[in-house]
Amino acid sequence: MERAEIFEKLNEVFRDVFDDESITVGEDTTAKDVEGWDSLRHITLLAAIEDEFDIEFSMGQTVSMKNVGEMVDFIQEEL
Amino acid sequence: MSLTSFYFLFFVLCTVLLYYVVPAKYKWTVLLAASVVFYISYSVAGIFILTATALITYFSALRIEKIGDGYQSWLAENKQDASKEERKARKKASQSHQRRYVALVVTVSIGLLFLFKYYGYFASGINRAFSTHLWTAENLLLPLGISFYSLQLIGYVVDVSRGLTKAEKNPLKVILYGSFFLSIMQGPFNRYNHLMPQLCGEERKRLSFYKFKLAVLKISWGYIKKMCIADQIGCIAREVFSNYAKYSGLGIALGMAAFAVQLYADFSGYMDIISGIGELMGIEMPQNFRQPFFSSNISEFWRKWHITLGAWLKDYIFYPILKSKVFLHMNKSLSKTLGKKTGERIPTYLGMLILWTLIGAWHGAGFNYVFSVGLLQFIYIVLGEITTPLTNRLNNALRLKKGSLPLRIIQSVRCTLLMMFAWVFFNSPTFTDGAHMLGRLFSGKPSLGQITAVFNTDSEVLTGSMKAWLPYLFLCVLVLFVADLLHEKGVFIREKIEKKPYVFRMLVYLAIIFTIIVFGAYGEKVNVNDFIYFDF
Repeated sequence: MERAEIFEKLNEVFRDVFDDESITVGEDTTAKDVEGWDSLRHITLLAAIEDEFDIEFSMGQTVSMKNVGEMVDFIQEEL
Repeated sequence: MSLTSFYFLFFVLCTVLLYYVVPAKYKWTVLLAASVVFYISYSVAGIFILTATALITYFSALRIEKIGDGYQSWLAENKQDASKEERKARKKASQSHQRRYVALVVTVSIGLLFLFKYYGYFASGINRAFSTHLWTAENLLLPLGISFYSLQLIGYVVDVSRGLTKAEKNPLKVILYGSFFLSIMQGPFNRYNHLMPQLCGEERKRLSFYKFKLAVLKISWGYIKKMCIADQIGCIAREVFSNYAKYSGLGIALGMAAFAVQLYADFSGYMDIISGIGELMGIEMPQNFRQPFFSSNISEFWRKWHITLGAWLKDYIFYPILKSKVFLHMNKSLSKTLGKKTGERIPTYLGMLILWTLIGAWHGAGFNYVFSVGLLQFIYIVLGEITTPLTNRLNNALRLKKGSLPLRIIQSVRCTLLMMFAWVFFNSPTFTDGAHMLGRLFSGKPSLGQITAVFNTDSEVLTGSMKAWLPYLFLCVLVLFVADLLHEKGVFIREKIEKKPYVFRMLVYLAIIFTIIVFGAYGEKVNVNDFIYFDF
């Protein structure tokens, strides 16, 4: 799957999880840029992404991803 | 070897000197020798327990890495040919094999921690309830730092299994990681891949005179916090907590406030001392406090108080719980029946309840710990979240804008009062004592006499000299408050001082030396307290 396609799908997941249609994530987007993306919602977000792409993030990936760009790297690794 | 003793200062001086004399490649051996000497100065038997745990961790980490490498090389060879299902199955098998070794380290570490820290409490409880005669482990002394190094070593093997750090090839370096003398007593919790490259790196280290001065300023500020604030104001806290039945209303409130200041000055003072010593050797220790009393709610307070414990528990307990199949399934099924928000919240709260119970229990065996820094914090956070819409409406009605100074003051005061309330149970021998003491808080008509009664006591706890130092003690607390305020505003106080003219700097240095020598609690006749977190 192409990176742009992954971002497109990711945007939908983010909008659904955070109930905000205006969200558009990019390579450098971090938790600080999205209102409500705290440590509690992080797992909910990852679970939704896992469902969307039919993958499973390892705990190492879960705790180490620094921004959405890294998140997409991990998704590509798992696909 | 108490941190407030001259022996310790001599020990640090020797260690730092040796550290710079020895070639870069062998500097870590100086730190290992210093850590072993420091540990043995407290407990000889304990070093064997620590070494055994570290060695089991060392071998397990090597095995975990080998299993992980096996999977990765299979993947590299078969990535094109293997189906997604096959890859998943291989990965799962490899992870489950790795988990056996993680489980071994967890069982050994937690087993020993339970034996030394909690077993006696439960055995005594069972003996009382069922008139049995179980061994109550009275003769077992808690090995120094077991609550800290056990979690650190577990974190290390878990990180190796998660592929976040490489397994260490030298067992002595794992022993150094577990026993490092700057964090063995009461933290901070170091991550292997943050600490060890600094301890074992082979780059040449240089200490400029400027960095030396900054480090000494940090250490001195730590000693002022410990010896001139915590140990002095601790006398007031001890008097009120030990004899709460004698006091009421504002007298009890004074004791509660004194303990809040004591705990903060004691714990953060220790962190400043060890972090400054680390700076002397070019080692950066993780930050454990970030002006916690300037928090808008209890969640934020805990992100600024004992930061490394919270971060450790989040990564190694909270996330795995929430990411477990049971919790994910619960989240999904509850979201379908109760709606997305509620469905998400219930498993999150359940995970938080487990987490906070563990944080409380980590502090000690006793319901007062589990309640004060565990369950009560959970209740504060959940209530805070549930009532957010209500408090927002109230703030709007009172025209208190988000982030405005009046609102921030109200939030800080609210946070401080909630923590003072919780710490009553934390600092009481039992939960019942805490409850009785709080009962005394609401008894009697508020009057100044309730406060002066604390100082007019004939108790030996508040000595004559202590009363004479009171104005200076309050000045020190004020300086602590202003320093935190400046840190909160992003001012680097040490750097600012060093940029001032020579005369100003000399006055600051003299004031520090004068304060510690004249107003510090030290010497043979003074009942110097150990650091409060030392026992955990």
